Amino acid sequence: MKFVLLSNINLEYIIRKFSKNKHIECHSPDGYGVWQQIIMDQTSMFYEDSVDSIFIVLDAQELTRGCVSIEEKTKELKSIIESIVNVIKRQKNTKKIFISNLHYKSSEIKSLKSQNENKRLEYIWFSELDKLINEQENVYVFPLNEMIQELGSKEFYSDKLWYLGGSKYSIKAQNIISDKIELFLNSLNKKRKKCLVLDLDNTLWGGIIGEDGFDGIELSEFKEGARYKDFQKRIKELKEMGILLAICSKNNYDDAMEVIKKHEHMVLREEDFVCTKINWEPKTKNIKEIASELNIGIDSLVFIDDNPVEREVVRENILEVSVPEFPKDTAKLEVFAHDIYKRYFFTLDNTIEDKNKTKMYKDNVLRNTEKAASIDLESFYKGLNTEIFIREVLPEDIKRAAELTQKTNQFNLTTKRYTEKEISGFASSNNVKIYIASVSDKYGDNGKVSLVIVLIDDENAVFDSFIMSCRVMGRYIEDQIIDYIENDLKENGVKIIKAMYKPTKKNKPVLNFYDRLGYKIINESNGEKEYQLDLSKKSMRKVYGELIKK
Amino acid sequence: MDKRVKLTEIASNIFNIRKEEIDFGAKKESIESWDSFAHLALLSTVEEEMGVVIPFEEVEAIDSLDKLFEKIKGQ
Repeated sequence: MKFVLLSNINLEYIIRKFSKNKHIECHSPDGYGVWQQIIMDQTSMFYEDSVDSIFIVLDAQELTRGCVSIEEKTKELKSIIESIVNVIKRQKNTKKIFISNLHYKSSEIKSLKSQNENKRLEYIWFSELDKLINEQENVYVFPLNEMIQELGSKEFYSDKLWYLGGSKYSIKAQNIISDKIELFLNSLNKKRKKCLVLDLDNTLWGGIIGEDGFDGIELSEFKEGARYKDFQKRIKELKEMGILLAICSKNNYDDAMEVIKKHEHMVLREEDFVCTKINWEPKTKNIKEIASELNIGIDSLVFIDDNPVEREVVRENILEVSVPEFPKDTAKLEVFAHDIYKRYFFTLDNTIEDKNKTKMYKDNVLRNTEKAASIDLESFYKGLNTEIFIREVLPEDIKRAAELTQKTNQFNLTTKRYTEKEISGFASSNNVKIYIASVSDKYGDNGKVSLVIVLIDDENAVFDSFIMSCRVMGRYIEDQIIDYIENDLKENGVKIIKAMYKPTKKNKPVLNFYDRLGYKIINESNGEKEYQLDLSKKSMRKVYGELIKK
Repeated sequence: MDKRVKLTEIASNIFNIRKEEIDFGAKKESIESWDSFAHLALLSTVEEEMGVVIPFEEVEAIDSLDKLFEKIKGQ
């Protein structure tokens, strides 16, 4: 991964630190006075294709050095941010660009009243930046101001380094900045975990419900019990970001449920959990069941339990589950929630699918229950009133499209992972068609769940990727999607479609996907299968839902 | 932690030299990675992580880890 670091001060320490990093390559111009030229110059590193992201870290005082009055400073800041905004708006850049907000170190000797000037200047910059990030999907705020506040400006700035080496920030501060950069960059590539599995006693509340009773557990707005309530508030925020929550607790079901349903200080309620395992079975068994009921990989679970023995048993028996240590000091529970977020679930932004995720997975559990009850499968599928909306990707689909390639493991024929940049590249090519489909039914909207990337060379087409979220697997939706695409390609002059199955640890469910649809195997080695379909000899497909072209 | 051990750790990290090979007697000029930037990073890290002060006026004169250790050992 390659990124460009631009600054108006010396950040040599950060640059050197990244030079030791094997996965991240940091490019920075010689001299720190040239950052604006680099942005303007269309032949500079800022515009290089191989660069994934750009970080612009700006020191407020240096930006307005030489300006005396607040009016002059305001004018200067406005002119700088405007020129950045113009450049970014003009270019169709898919690189992620992080632009710092500002922090004025209050070094001037001033009366109390005039100290507010700095805040006003910081806000002028921020409000312009805020407009930009709302208009441009690829632009983010680099929260320098918050980093300074968190550490404290006395420790963040180093007078000595400034006077001796033009480096404004302390070594500690530069470590904080580089950690933040690394966190953001990793989030572009790393697979997020999907589900947080939580214990109850001494985890979501203090004490043991079976011993201390409903009124004896610690859970309150203030004082001791607030440790747990605050922890729950942060966990609830994770849920709002698309993280699924499940309970895995050794308890009497009714005792625990009474607290979840009735305790006035419970933040997390029954509807917040996709799955609840409150029983006396071994936790390893429950955890495996959670993964299988939700139809997600067991390696996408994170297990939180205050009991070291339970943690150890899970760690030793299910290696794929992540089991972080629980804080020894429960005053640190809120910090712990932040750590969990950064380690396993960090994301730069959310898709709409994230917000509704819990409901979607719960709907799915309902669907499966009804499926089990329904003897005639065909009438069950028909009764779902499935609607499939399909179209070629539009700019607003790019983020979700990349996410589908990154996160889907089971129904994924070739398991090729693509970044947003790569998907945009495909989308703008004449030889590539990318189809995206969303699915809804009587239980609710599943969102955009399927992606097909087709490479076209005159009369031949290749299915580069065929992906569908496991949420809607097993309902023959894929049959209608492929049918539509085949017909669309045929209309565009394609005669032969080639396709491929590449085995991974997880995509067994689609081992015979193309075989079932009448594709002929033309080559087979090491489990990889190459197929071909002559579009003039295409067979009829099952139809259970209504397909709508959008 | 022992100040000498801590100083060795910091120097090893900044100079990119294994801890066992850190030589307190070696002069600044004889260590390739001890350039002017590393000099500042070393002194600042020592100040920040060990809670000691190296006055501005003395920064220049420190030309070996021994000398640096002399300055901070009593603080």
